[in-house]
Amino acid sequence: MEYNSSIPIYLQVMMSIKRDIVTERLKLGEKLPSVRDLALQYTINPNTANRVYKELENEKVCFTRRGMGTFVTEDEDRAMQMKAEMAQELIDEFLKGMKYIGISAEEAINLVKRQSKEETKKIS
Amino acid sequence: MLECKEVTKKYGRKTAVDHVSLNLEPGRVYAMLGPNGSGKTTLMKMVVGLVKPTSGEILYNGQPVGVESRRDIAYMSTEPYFYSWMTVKDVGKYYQDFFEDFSMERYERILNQMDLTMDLKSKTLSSGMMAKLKIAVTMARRAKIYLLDEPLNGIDLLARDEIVRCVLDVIAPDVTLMVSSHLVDELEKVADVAVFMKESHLVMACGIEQMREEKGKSVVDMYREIYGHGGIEQ
Amino acid sequence: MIKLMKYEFRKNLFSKIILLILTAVGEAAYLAGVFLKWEDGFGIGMIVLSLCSIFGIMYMGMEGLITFHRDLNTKQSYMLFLTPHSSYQILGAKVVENGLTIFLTGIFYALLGLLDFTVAVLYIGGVEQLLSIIKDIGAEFSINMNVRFEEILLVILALLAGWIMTLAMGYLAIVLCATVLAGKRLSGLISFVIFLVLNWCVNLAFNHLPILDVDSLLIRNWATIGCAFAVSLVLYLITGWIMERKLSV
Repeated sequence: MEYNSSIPIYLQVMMSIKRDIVTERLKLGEKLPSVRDLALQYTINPNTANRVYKELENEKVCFTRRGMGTFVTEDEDRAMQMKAEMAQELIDEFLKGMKYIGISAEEAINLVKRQSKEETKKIS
Repeated sequence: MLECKEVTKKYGRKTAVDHVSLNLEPGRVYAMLGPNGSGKTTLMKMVVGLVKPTSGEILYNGQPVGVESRRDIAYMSTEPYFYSWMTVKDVGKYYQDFFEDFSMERYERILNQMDLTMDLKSKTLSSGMMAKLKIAVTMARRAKIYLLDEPLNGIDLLARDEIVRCVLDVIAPDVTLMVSSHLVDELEKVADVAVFMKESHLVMACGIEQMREEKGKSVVDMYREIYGHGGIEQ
Repeated sequence: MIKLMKYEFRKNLFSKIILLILTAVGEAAYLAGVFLKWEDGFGIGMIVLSLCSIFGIMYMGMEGLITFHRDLNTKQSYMLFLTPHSSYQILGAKVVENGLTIFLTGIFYALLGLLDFTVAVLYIGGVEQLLSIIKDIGAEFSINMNVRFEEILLVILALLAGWIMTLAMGYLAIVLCATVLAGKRLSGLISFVIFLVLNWCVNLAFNHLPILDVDSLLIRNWATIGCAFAVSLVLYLITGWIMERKLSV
């Protein structure tokens, strides 16, 4: 995984795991890798890996069962909520980026609608 | 824990390390950064006892470094140093003879992952293979402190991943790692603390994630700031 | 420390093998000379064997110093100084291994010489002659044996003591060179000069020792040997101390 240089690494790994849950690459209730394995997988320091799970647990994205490991939440609502949160972030980024190049939110929405029609035309 | 107190090393009029004070806590990985000649190597050599400080002291668990501390400290130098008559197997046996924490099994496993065989002669190894051998024999020890001087030097891309994995593998709450490398971005992911050395001085030591959170800067960014033009003047 | 000695031995193995091969060649020629009545072989064999023994023992002694110099002045020093051993142990292992090598080499050649001599006497001289020789020697020895034996022992010990002291000076010179004159270009030459100077100084001191004015040859010899060992010990301790405190490799 390539890391963005200005955001803390643990946040980026958290994002990656959330994405996996939202896209169902990680199923609800599935066992997550151990801290060490997570560290190896993402080539990060185990302390950072530890933090990732701690923060995810704080956000109720995962939970730890003593002696058994860390598991993805089984709460479907939480997963939906995560999807909504991610969507929100992406929208924020999009609108921010558009504003930066001088396109208003309204214009941006129209552009999106038009683009989406083009895509549907292509498919059909 | 390792404490460096105002450690200085002078060679005649040249100062290699100037009043460096640094505490290395267990469970942390320290990335030693700085250009060649900034003092990183000399500092490491003083920790392991190969070089004696001109002034200042280095304490391991409260005692000055010496014979006993070398039982727990594993050092990997940039230069090759094995006896020329040794084979890869001989090197392993040597370490086994002198270091209780050396595991021949781990050694074989790491060698395997790096495509090195036991019968190879130290004399005939290419620089890349020698680099791998040095790492293999050092990481096959279960030391309390690892001092790795440019462990990724001369290693091809795929083997680098292997080495990073080796390094991650030994990280534990009671283990301290001090790794120096020019490959700043590779080191950044794995280290906890970035220690910047410039012209024999310790310029800065700070937590890597902390730097990102508080200043939005990565280690690479800091590196450019400190050593690039318009950097911090000493 | 035995492990250190094991590797010291291994470091110098090559020259020992060469020496062994040369000795074997000489021995083969000598034996051929005896058994096949080949006179040239006999002569060549004796010369080769004598040279091997004399130069062999000398080289065995020197090699310890050569290896030490290499160990201190190349990166191979890391092999020794990264191990959890003090400089005293590292130096001690070298000194003991060196001493043992010299001693055993000496014994080896002495025994070989004795064996060759016996073989020659037996084969060339015939059994009756050997028996008469033994009777004569026995007669001589039973009278002079005790004195002879002790004299020989003293001579050997004196040689050994002197040799060891010389080696000790050699080690000190090498260490001084590697610490005081660290990394300078003519380190080998300077080491040698320091060594010669030390040698001269110590010998001068020896010649003025008061105990040498005693009449008894026995006491003088034992005193000299004792002093030589004492000096060697002091030199070893000094060398070890400098290594421990001042040596940066």
